[in-house]
Amino acid sequence: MSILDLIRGNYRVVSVVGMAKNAGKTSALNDILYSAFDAGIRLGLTSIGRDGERVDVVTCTEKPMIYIERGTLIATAESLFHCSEAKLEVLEMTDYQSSLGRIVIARAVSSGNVEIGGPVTNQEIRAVSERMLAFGAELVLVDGALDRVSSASPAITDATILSTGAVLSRDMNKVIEQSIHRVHLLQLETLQDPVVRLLAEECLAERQIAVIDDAFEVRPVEAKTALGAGIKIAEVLDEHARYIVLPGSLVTKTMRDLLAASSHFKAVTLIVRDATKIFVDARDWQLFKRAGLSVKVLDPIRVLAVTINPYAPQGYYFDPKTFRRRMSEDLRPIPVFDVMEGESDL
Amino acid sequence: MKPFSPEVIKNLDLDDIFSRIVVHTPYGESEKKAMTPYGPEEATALIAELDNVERITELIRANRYAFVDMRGTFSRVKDLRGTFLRLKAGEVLVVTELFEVKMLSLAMKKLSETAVLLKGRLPLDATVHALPEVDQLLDPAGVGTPTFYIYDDYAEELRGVRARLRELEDQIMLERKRIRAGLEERLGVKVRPSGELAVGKDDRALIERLNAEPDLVYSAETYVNITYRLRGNDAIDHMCSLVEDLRAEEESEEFEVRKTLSQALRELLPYLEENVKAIGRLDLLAAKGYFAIGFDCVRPDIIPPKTGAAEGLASGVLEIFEGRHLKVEQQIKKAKDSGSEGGRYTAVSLGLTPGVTCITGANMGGKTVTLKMVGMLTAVAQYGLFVPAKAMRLTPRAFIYTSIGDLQDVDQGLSTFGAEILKVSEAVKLSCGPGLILIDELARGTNPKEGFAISMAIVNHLKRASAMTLITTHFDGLADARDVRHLQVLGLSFVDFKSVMLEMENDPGKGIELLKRSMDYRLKEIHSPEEVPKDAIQIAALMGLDEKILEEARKVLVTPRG
Repeated sequence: MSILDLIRGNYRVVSVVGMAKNAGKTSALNDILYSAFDAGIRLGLTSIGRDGERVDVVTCTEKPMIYIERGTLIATAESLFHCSEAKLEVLEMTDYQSSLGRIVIARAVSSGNVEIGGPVTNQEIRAVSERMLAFGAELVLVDGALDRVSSASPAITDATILSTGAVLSRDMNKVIEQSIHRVHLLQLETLQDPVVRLLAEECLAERQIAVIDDAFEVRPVEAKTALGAGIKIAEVLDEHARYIVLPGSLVTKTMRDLLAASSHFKAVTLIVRDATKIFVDARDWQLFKRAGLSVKVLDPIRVLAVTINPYAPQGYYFDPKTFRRRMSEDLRPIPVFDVMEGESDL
Repeated sequence: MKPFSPEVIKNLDLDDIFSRIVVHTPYGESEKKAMTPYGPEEATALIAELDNVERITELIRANRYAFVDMRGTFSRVKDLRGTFLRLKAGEVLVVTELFEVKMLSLAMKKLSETAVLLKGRLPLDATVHALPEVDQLLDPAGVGTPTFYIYDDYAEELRGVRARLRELEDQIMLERKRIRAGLEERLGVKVRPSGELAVGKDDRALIERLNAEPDLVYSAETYVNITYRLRGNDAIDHMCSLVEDLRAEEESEEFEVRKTLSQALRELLPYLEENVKAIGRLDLLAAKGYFAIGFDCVRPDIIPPKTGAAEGLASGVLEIFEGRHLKVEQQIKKAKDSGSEGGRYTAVSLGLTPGVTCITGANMGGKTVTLKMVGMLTAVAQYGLFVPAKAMRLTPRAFIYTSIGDLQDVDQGLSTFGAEILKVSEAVKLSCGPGLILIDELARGTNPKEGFAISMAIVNHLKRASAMTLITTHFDGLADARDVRHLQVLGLSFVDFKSVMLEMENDPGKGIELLKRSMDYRLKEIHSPEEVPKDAIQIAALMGLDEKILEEARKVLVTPRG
């Protein structure tokens, strides 16, 4: 059983995201790549680009190189395209801009290393992925990110592989707790009510914090940033309030302020775009949950598998077998793979 | 002629007009930005441009499909002027640039086919030609695929290098797979596709066997694991170093090919640039054609100014039959489409001659809109566009001057009156030329008595000038001055007020609606002062002013002051 087996035939666009640097994302990605090359699957490859990314066009050294085989499709920025070692045939110059140049869709005519820096926005990632599928890719892999810097999120892919590892903490319990919390967040319930979804989408499009009441009236909340928003929102809450739409991030302070300043939060559901917008740690989250705060997302993220790396670059490590066993038990039914071993424990 | 001033563009809503002229290519965008009005001395060029628009409009009507197809091609045309500059500077293009030139050439081929389909009826400067030389350069095998790569066909040396490379890489892969399979069989372990194998340190027996295995090499170690990597053999090592050399060779062969291609393209650059210019022209012409069709426009009849005649008053024509202010008309249409009762837009006809024409009439009678409409249609015609009207005859104006709207200029510390006088004195200076001067509500910003006097003096000056002046005013006396044409908004003169008031009693909130419905925005020429109707009190009634006040007003009207 490999990660590829889970993906193949079920999903067309899959992202790989790491909980932190050195959590083993690149190993996970390479694992899927090599299995696909081995199985003769034609892959498409891109990444979620970042605003303000820079590259030294002379040495091309900023990003790690990824080895691809002949026939693989990639979507990468123009300046990285010219740095590639694999010979590439241009299939399309898109109009999508990144700080490393326009995004080029190309096919490898020979095997070799390439650097991938993809589009910046959700729509553009989705669009280049669809283009690569149209050009003949069987499966598209998106090298993703789970941080505030990226404006695009893994929610635009069909499924997500989450990489976590010892790098998070010296305490294995903490790593497990944080990882489970993250998976739990990523799998938050999706808002179903079509009317509320429509209203929430409108608020998000206008970047407007708002409260929706039981008569489906939208009450705008005047707050410049999410940070100070809690108190302002609490002022608008009454017994008719049903939803709070947050266009930006959901942070601990907002939830704490809500709890402190209003007694009406129990009937209210917070709505965010997707789980990558939530920055609340496990302990606070449990606290708010017990107090009755509920959160739903507009775009779900399907966690297909979790990969673990028992080794930390700081020099400590966990016993791989124990680590994987405990993660598997706590995450069941989501399969857990040790990227250093290459085998899952199903 | 000189472009219109930003103020004229704003007052006449020309930005709204430009936003309705939709181009699809960066070259069309440049052509559109470079549009300037044709002046009186360019009447022949203006007529020629209108001939082109007329022809393209007919072509669009008869070949809808071809034009939609053309729009699709346009949307794929990218701005390569930067690449052209690099070519000119003698630089060597990179693969992505060559790809884009190829795409552009493919688009040109498509557009040239459209030109043939239209039986050569496109204007010459808007006819795109195929460039088979470029296609041949960038598609050496002639397969017509819309992709690009430094193909093997470019150089025998390159083909040779690549063939050897591919062969070597395949051999290396096979060799590796063979070693891997052998290992897995011998040791009963699974080697990852990347060629790595991690083993727990507690499995000492296995480690010993792996250490003794010639096909494996120690790669890395953690506290619990040792990672081994497939060791190539001498054959693989040898092949790998050959690959390195060949890659370098391939790189330099490719550079030579790019250099040759760039050189060849440099020689074809004049044709590429000419074609790109034609794409821009075609794009803009088609946009003008779609504007004419989409907004039900007609070709203005351009009457060149009489040559030889001295700067006479008699020279020049400006006649509009059922002209429409496009922005106002579209707003009403939009309101109607979205369900609210918007009513209808009334087209207005009028003619101007050199000298002064005044428009008087009811409040809310559309005087300002008519004034703007005259300016808008004149400007639109002089841009070489069809005009929203049933017909228009025009001698191109040398300039358009506007004094419209609230002129208060707080920055300069000027009141409405001060700002207006500043504007009008500029107009007076210009009035000796054959232009068009549009003044809304002359001298409204000061007391009626002096305002009238100043207005009268201005009108007396302008009526002898060669410019055409159109003024809206409340002062009937101004319009009745000698040698001034007086146009009056028909207003409410034909309305049966009794029935309207009755309707209003049933639904008092309906005043504005009723007023708009009853208002006749058309103009008639007034020849004697007695014809002037007084609509203000009736309008006040419709707007719901208190009946007692209205009664008082009627009394004041019949009893002269003092």
